[in-house]
Amino acid sequence: MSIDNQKLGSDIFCEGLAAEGVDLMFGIPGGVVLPLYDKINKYGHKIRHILSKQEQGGGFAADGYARATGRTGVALATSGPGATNLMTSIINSMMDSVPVVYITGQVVEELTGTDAFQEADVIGMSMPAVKHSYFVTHAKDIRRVLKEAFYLASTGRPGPIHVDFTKNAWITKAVYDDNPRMDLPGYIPIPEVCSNSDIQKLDELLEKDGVKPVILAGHGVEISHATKELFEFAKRHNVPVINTLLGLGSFPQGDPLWLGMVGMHGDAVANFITDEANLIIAIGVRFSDRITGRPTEFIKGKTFVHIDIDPSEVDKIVPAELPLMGDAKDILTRANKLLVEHKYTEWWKHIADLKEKYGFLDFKWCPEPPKGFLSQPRLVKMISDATDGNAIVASDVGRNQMWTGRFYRFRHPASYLSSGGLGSMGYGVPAAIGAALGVPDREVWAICGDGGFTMNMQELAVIAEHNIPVKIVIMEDSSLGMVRQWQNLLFGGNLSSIHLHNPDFVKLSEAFGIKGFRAETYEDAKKVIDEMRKIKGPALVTFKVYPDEHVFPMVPPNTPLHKQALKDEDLLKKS
Amino acid sequence: MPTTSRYIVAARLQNSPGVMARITILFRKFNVNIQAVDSRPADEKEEFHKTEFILETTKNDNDFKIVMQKLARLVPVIEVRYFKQPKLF
Repeated sequence: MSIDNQKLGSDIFCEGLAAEGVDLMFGIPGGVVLPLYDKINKYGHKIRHILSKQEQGGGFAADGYARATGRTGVALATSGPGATNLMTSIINSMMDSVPVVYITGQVVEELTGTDAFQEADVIGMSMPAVKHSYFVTHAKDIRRVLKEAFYLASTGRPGPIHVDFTKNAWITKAVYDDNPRMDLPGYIPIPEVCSNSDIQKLDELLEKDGVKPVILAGHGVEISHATKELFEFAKRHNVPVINTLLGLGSFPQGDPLWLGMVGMHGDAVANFITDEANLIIAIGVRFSDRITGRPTEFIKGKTFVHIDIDPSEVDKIVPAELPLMGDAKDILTRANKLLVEHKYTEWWKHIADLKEKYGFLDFKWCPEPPKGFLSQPRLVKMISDATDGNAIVASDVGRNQMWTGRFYRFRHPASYLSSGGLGSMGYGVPAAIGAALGVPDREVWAICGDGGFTMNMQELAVIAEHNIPVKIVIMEDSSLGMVRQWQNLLFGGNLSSIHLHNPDFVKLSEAFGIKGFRAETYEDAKKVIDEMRKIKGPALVTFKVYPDEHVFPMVPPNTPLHKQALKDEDLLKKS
Repeated sequence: MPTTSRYIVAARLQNSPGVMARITILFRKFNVNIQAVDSRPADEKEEFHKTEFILETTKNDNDFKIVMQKLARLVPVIEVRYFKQPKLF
């Protein structure tokens, strides 16, 4: 092979990314990735590089991009501190099964293990938190590794792939192979596929006397693009549909079959119905402790049908009488052809009674705060009404997250971006950046608390630099709100280290060149929301909200769902 | 005191750096102790390794099954077989 046919590893990397369909990446340059950055701007016509302000922000942006577009996100960091800053976003993508390829630089191979400047064993650190990882030391491996990384990230149960490149990889040469052979003998994207006769067993369960079925629809429904199939399935059998936090958007929220969100801060009716159901058809759900409450109580008297692509999720928390392994879209498509229709008149009568008694999608458990403060759920509903449920909304983590899940009426799948499993504050703004760049024709909002917002507020510079039309909401209560709620209700009101000394967020926003607003009344809030929507670029608003507005219902940890607290007194009596 | 069980696990693995680290990290996550391990090339080209573990755990049979399923899901793991070692005394 002539040496003339060979290319630098940095060129192979850029061409390889483009060949994998990447047209956007988030990153920050540094020492060992400089040979790569010497090329990245030359491939700018193929791949847009967004310079994040901190690697975690870049990682969250790539994660938000992936969730909103369904495509694989890319985030890049240099060795050492750059790479360690990425770790939170890597674990976040793992917990929520999000396809992102995380690229890190590493010191030259000869120096690995010597505690060289900016050396950190990031492969060792990320190993428990990735679907797979690679350590690449030479240009000849780059193209194959990229092909495998994107394949692994996006197939089967999606997840993050971490590729650590020593500096040698960029500066050595190899022949560019456009279609290298993948070498993944142990990887089977869908390890087991259930048979039609397995699916038909569901009929027997649905037909049993006194059966009270519920569909629990999780993130896997969206990942599998099975929303239409789920809709048809639920309609055919007239079965109520309840979402997990990350499943929100997978079922039309105006439909009478939809009963809201289950879990620690789920809807009261959804929690009662999940508790009372004796047949749970779980689709793409991993039964997090946030939805089961006390698992031993949760499983009592229930039969579980578990539809999932990952066999290691079945029987992990709940015993599945009928595990249906495979891709949810395929299984529901077959189920819709195979199964007979059902009605559950008595069950629906009971559901109607519960709705009447406990309210549904209303503010029954959200009392209006004292004069001078705004109420977070009411503000979320205002945004939902103004955007008619059509926006992509990235929430942060905490009370804002729960109220966004409960009171924004999502009309489309892949529209609620939230750090579900890891619960990482600081997610909202960068995730919204990724979504707005990935889906430019949709309106994108970030709904944050003041604590979470300040954790990644440096990314406002990215928004301003690229005029990214993200609308940012800060629910400002000068507190770490969810911690405050727990301390109020479960720790005898001992408020410890939760008070925030905030900057003037309007001035801060204006300092970055982003139009800032403040609203302290509902009238102002409505006007501001409308005005923000008219602005073509980014805008930010801070709402003065009540610090002691608690999210109810609340199922305290390791408590059965039916013992959900609906108001302060339910918990204060106990403590 | 929780009951401890022993399992014999045989796995066919890709032969590359870090594979054993991935496996031991998984065992650590589930608090599974490695009592013994033996690993050797499984083919002439030495592309794969055959590795046998003796594991000790307080997990019940179902939870250990989940650990084994997670093990099988690791990308460089080709095949996993296991059985519970009966108590002799």
